[in-house]
Amino acid sequence: MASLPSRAPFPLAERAGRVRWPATQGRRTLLRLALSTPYVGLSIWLAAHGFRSAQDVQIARAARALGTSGLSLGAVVRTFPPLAPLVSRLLPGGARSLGVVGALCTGGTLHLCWERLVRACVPRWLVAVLVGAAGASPIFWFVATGEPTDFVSVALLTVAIAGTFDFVYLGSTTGGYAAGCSLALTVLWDPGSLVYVGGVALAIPFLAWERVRREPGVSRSAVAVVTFPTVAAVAAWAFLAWRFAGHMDWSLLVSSSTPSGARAGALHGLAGAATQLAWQVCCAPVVVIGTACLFEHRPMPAIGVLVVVSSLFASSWLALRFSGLDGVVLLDIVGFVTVPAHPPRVVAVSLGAAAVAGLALSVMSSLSGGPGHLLHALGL
Amino acid sequence: MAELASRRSSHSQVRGQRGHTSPLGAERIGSALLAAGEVTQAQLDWALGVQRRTGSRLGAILVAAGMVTRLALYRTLAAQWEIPFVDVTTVPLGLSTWPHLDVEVLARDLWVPISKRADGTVVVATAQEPTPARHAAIEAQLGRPAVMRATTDWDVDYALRHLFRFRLLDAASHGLWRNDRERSARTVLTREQAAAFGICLLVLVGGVLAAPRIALAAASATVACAFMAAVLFKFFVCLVGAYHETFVQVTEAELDALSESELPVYTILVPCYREAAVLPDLMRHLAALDYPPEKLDILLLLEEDDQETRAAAIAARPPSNVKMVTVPRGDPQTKPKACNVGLVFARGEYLVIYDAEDQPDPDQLKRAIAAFKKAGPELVCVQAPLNYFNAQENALTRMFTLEYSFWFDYMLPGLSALRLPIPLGGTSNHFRTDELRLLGGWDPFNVTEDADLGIRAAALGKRVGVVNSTTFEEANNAYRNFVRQRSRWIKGYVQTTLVHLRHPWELVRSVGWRQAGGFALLIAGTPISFLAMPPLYVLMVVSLFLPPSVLSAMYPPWVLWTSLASFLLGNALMVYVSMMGVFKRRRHRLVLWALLNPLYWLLHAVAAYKALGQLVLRPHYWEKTEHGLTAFQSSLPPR
Repeated sequence: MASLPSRAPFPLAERAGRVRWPATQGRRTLLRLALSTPYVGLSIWLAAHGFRSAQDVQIARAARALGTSGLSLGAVVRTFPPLAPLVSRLLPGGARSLGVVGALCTGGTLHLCWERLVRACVPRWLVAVLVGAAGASPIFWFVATGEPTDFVSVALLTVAIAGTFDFVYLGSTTGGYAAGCSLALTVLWDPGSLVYVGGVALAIPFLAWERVRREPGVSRSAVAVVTFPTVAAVAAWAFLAWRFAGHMDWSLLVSSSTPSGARAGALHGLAGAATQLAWQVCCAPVVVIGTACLFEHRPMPAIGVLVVVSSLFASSWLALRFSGLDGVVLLDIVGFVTVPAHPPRVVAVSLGAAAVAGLALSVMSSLSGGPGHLLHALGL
Repeated sequence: MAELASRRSSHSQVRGQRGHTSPLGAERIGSALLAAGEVTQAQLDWALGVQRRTGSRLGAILVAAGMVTRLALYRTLAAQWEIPFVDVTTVPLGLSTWPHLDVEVLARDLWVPISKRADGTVVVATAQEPTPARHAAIEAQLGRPAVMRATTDWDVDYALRHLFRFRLLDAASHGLWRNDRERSARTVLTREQAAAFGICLLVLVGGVLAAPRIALAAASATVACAFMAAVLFKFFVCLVGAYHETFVQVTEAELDALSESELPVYTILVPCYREAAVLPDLMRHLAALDYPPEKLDILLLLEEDDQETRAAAIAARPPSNVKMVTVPRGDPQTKPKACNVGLVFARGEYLVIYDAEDQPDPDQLKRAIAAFKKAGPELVCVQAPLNYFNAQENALTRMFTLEYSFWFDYMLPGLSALRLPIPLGGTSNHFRTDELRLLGGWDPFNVTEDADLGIRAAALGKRVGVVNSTTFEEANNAYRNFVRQRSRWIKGYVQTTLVHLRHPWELVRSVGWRQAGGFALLIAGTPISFLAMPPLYVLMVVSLFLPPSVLSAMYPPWVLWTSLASFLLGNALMVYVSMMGVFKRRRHRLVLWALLNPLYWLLHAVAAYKALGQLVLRPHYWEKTEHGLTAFQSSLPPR
């Protein structure tokens, strides 16, 4: 097992970095369930009132295409990504059940963030502010309950990014398994996540910068380990699709058939993506403070974080199915990964203030667009 | 005679945990040795200092340090005990006429009846002080008056091996079979198992004749599902193992807390058959162990007909705590039989097996003791992970290293965490010696006696764990040698499966569904997954050239899809865990080699079919793995 770096601990405190919180599996499960309960409630309420996002409709259509009476093998192997339509097809309640699945993922995601902060020995008040602000954000609520399929992707990417940090930085192969498997599942859930797989792979050499001197070849092998499951999953599915259906259906890759982003013009797409990224960063300022703190002590890993963040830009530019709101949630969570261990008071106060500011901005942004519709549906 | 020569050439001895351990006794033997001019005052002072620190016997310390010869020590003791010394090698030893005496008890109590006099008294040679009580006890066992003679503990063992040669051989070969036939692999198939296999075969043949398409589809689906189940189980266990990677079985603090005085005598069994090439390295590696030398009881188990290894062992000038034990010739000539002979003469509280080419971490014995102390009495064995020092030698050694890294660093910790049966791996198994005897020792008819023993321990409600200390070995670097070794391992797994599934319901009742399922998926699943590789490969290649529409004449599309998906997913999962294993070991240059795992498994498939053939034709034949073929020096790789 790799030894911990000798310099200031980041992102997890050296002693507490590997301890699970809460200590027992039962307590962790209970906490996750408790955290997800309000989101599940809202999801059920929305489903009962007929609220359906464009993504839900798209997935439902793909699920129906898998066959009316039983599953059609040709349709199953042709569909890519297969997981979301299959889950939607197999779960009782169809696409509506996906809402519950997405809402259930909130518990795991919030717990992961909470646990990382505890393991980083962040003051309790700051843990409360950061997790509270993230969980209370209308954007988070909207994505978790209104765009459940996207939220599942976000949740899996969260696990993947946190796992990559643990794997590359701390040498935890548990993190490596989590990262590799989550990325593969994400791509099988939403092919747009391929961009993030690329982003994570490009970030690894920067994250592993300090290990390379001690362990030559660690970057290359870490990239191989993290990306192999994705490559294998996509290649295997492509082979089966080619053999059994002749081609793969990539229609679920993009958000709509209307040309947008780079497909509407490269330069036009660049400007739009840049604007969107700027807005996303404004709504998730914790990541800015966290990355700045990191940059002060360890510039190369900080660049790694920026590479992951730039995946949002690429996703937006390529007009993949990942929405701008999903990006805000993801950035919020990347921010948790960058929070330094044992933050000094100034940093802690800055992080707290950033979280509150991010919450305020997300409330203001939510008055229009998807979250606005959700608030309207709720009668708020 | 060679054994005699080696025995005499040794300058020291290790044994003698009983008798003259008190400070008073130490002073007496010390003074006597000093008076006899066997040691100097400075040597005696040094040895007394060591004794205060380690609690070892003074004589053992002096012998282990090479300051006193074993013969001199026991001659001095004989004078103290006021009995004559006898050199048993000069006494004509016939076969024992004492059918009621237990060799193991005699070896433990360090006495042996060497001759009978005309007046009916028995001459007994002993390496322990013959106190009146002890003398009386010996006479009670013999049922005759006895006259006592002193001798060395090695001489007691030597005499026992000669006097009880056939009984020793029989106990080592058939002990388990006599005591517990149901757990012995001497019988390959029980009548019920043979009937079940016959019925399965009939159904298959009948199916192929009556409805070939359905039979083919059913067989394909079964093969694919079995392959997938075995691989998914391994992957799951590896994930659990990775999840527990932060759990350190023995911490540095726990290791430091062990005082030398509380370290018990540790027996090391080293079965050596045709291992002349590696013996010099073995001596070096054993000498590097961080353990008080006087508390090491090292037994080189040499086959009677292997003069070359014996000569090499003598030439290697083994350290004073290494004893050569001749394993009587007789079938089956297997490693477990040799180990069973060694077990009779083992005097340590704990016992470990090393192969001749092994290079254990120096602190491994201490870690094992700490692990035993920490876990409590239900833990009867701990397995130290194995890895290779010649990983970079060629493609085969790289693949071997990939495989061992995931197996020992993820699979075994995962099995341990899930409390599932752990198949022990050939070497570096540390036992509580008494518990090992209660388990019945090794099954000499099982060619993976180690795996069988781990499963037997679980079946009897005992626990096997793992310890964080590595033993480095020589990876097989020759393909034919590899196939020979693997075919033995796979045959042994099949033997173990057949033995422990003789009464499946009984197994479930004794260990529960979870453990029985884990056993079936791991021990039966491993050979099945290798046997499944060739048909799945054929299907894959055929499907590359023939579209499914053509194949659908033979295969229902879902069956074809399931088979191909199993093949792809199963291989991908095994590649992935192999990658992760070497990443954890920081052998980054090997990570991409994991991509060749599907080809490596094809090589396993060759070995698996060979094993299947051997199970029918030569079920108990031990395919010897040649060691000492590497050109690499056994220096430690990064840990």
